[in-house]
Amino acid sequence: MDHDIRLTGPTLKVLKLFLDNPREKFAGAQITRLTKVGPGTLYPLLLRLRMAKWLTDEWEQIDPSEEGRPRQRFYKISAVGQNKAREAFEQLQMPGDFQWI
Amino acid sequence: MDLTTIIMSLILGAIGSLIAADFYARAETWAAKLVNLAVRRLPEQLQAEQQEEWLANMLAIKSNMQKLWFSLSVQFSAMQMVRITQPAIEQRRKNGAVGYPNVGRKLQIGLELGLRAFSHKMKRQILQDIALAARFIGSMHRFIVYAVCLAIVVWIIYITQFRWTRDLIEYVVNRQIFSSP
Repeated sequence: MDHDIRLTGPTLKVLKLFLDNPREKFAGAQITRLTKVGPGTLYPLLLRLRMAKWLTDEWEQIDPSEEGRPRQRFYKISAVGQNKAREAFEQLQMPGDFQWI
Repeated sequence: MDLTTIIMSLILGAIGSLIAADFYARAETWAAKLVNLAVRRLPEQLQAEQQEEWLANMLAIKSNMQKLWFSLSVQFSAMQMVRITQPAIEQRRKNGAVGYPNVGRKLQIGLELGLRAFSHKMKRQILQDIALAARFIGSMHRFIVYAVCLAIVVWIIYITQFRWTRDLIEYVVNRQIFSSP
């Protein structure tokens, strides 16, 4: 199923973070800290990107009962996501290092 | 300033700081409860993983007040996530598999027990109606927001002294068609 991604300001900020660090995995709290996108906007956005297969997710490899805390979920940009995000930025005619968002 | 006022101020100050300290200490517990409340709004397939993710992210925050803010923010996340996943649920309903509405576990068990007496067809109809009612109640908050926004706009126009809005408000308030010039 093809999910439509609305390219809003927060979406572009999050995509920019992933495009700049395509090999890195980020937890929701990290993304909030780095992009300043609040949790109220971030998690629905991550769900949309995940449903559209632009992002993949994986869980932290720990035993929650041993660590005494729940596992973090990490997000990483997929190959499809990289291509689609680049296309989206090109369509918006924005240079990769724009600062004003 | 007399002695009674000074003593009262000291007592009230001490009580105030105790309440503040207690509130701060309990903020994490309340935040966790609010996260769980947000999780309950979500479709069943998302609940377990989202609970783990949100609790992990909440615990990564150092300040208790920020934890509370996070837990309030995820309430909005949950509402939006329900809307995002709604088409899939609608599709499943169209295909004939009617799930229980997202009304909380206890109410779901109550429905399951209460509806045993009905035939399968009747049960499906009742569940569909309850799901529709739950969705309607869930969307009521939007109408309240719109009504408040509209009221603010009308009020702003009113204070800017446009005649017709003033007359409209006076008509609504006083049941008079137009005020005398």
